[in-house]
Amino acid sequence: MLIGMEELRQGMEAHGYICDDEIVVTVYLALRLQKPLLVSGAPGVGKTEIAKVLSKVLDTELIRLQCYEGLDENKALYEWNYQRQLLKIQMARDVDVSQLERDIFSREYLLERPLLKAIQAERPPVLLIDEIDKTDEEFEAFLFEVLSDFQVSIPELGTLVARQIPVVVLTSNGERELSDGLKRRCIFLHIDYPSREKEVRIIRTRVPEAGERLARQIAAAVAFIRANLDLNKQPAIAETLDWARALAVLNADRMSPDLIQKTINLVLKDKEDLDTLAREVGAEGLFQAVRQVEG
Amino acid sequence: MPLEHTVEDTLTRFVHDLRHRGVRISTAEVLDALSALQQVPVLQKEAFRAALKATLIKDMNALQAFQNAFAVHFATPEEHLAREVKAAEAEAARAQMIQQAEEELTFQGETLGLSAQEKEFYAGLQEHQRQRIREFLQKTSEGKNVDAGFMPMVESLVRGHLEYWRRKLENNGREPDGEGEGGMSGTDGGIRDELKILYTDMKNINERDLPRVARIIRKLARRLATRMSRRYRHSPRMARVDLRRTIRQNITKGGTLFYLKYKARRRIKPRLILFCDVSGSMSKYTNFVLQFTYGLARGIRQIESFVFGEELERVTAYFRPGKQFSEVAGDVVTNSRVWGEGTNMGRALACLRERYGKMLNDKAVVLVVSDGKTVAPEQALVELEQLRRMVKKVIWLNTLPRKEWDRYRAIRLFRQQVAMVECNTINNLEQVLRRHFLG
Repeated sequence: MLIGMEELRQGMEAHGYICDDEIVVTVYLALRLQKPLLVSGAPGVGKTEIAKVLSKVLDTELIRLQCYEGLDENKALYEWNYQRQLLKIQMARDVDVSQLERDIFSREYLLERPLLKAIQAERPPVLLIDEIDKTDEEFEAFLFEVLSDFQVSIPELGTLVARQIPVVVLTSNGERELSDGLKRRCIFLHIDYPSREKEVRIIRTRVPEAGERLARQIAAAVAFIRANLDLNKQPAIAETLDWARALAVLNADRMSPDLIQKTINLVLKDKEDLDTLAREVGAEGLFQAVRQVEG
Repeated sequence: MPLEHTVEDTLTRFVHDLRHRGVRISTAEVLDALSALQQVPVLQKEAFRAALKATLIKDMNALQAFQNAFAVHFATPEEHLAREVKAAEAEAARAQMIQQAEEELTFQGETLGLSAQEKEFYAGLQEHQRQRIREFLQKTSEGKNVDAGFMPMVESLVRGHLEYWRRKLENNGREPDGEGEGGMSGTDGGIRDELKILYTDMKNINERDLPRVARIIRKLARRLATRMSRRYRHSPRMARVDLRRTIRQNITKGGTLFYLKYKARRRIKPRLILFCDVSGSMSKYTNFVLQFTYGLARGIRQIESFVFGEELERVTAYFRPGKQFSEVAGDVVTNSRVWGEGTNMGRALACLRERYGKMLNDKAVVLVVSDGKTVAPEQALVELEQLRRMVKKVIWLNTLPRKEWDRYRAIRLFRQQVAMVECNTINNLEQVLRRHFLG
């Protein structure tokens, strides 16, 4: 993956990912050192998006492994196609048993799951292992073995070594502490909520129809909410963009208390948080805060 | 080539300093950092910092240490100069504080023989606190039949005063002074706040931070409620073929494996019994107990909550899901009879056994939240022993700092019967739940 740092920045921005120096340098290092990139941060700050944008910048396939509690090797690496194997056994009752066994444990009967698919790809893909913190520690241990050697052993087939080392992006919402072993093998990036200026740029890039003034007002309102309200779920970039799109669809070119009142549930998606906003500042108060920022 | 002043040398010193500050860094990570520095323009400070951070810091807890160490090791000449000026100013201010303390801390015109740290601590006190010490010195100096021979005693008394204030400030949760280097950027402030809450004694958590505490506890409870078992059980989800069941199912088909049976890992639903001390000595932890119970009750269905002082009271009904925390807290504290009274743990445990014995089976885990200060500890010990035999596990979360445990006979006795862990911060709580339930 020979790509320069500036080229990477421009490529990411061209695909709508506005990033600061720290993100560019860290992603660049992960590519150059061929190490997995572990991205942590609150939900909705753009962790998964990094992998998606990277696959576009590098013009390669994105293979996604969505993690969840109880995920095991069968779902992540490979599984034998049992139904097909059974059919084969039924159809070939008179065939030599050892031959049959060789047949049904061949590649033809192997169901490749994301990890194996990434290892076996002709061109290095971007392998996104999303929400790794949702898996249990056993799976994590298994995963970092795969990520260290980029090879897997299938007892019936032997060891399969990666043809190309994939670009691996792991994301974590910090639900639990990851093991030292995994962290040690990764390049680490923590993404926080963006500054107001950066958020304006993100809105302008992703929702150009929102217009400069509205984008500034939205970013100011979201920044105010994050800084002043204690919420169960702070609005992330994803919510900011949803809000901008909604206001653009309503042909709004600026905010008003009425518009805030009608659309705020796109930003705050928790009943308690909506109550907190109403109690602490209300739509009118939020509007006044935005106007104050505007000067 | 001599190693001094090479990139390797500077990096090694930097890593050594980080380790000294408690950051765990492996040799492999140092090598990664070295490789990373070869890939970025080292003269661009932000890129240089990002490269080191990405390869050496894998835990946001270590960020502050990184910022501080980076500011020391990779400062520009101008920053070095500014730092030296700042250090000189701080030293001058310190000398002035000590001098002021020497002038004020006198007995019959003679300066007291206190250490520099003691003088500095005195100078850092608030005016009314210093005033009290000065008044004491003045009165003693002017006392009848008081001569210079009283000096050692006066010094000792002033030391006692200072120690009193030091303890009081510690108990009131005064934060230790910062290192004065580096500093966090605005966006990192949020992370620092979150970390601070994790490590703050719950009796010192202020009202403003309570919602955040509630969220952290709720998150822990959710993980407890959805924890996966290592064992596989029969499941309609197509997770893994269950060969034994598949063969059994297909015996009637002449051995032809016609229907496949699957197995999946089942969720463990813990049966928890909370047994929380809400007597007078635990009043500072009221919020903790309520938040803890509320958070767990929202995450786990099979939970029974009891509070006790001199008597036992079942409070499960108050914590049914669907109510706001403020409403629950108000109801519990208003309606409870046991809140804030003395402690008779033995009686409360006996009541639990006699009236709610059915709940105490080999699947139940009892979480005791108490500082262990109770009357009749022997009776409590006997009851605790019985309880331990009836349930799967008893875990005692003690809000008293571990270093104080040996001072209390009751705690020494209880520790013989149950697993007791120090638990007065959210971090403690997370460690306990991880070790006993999520591990």
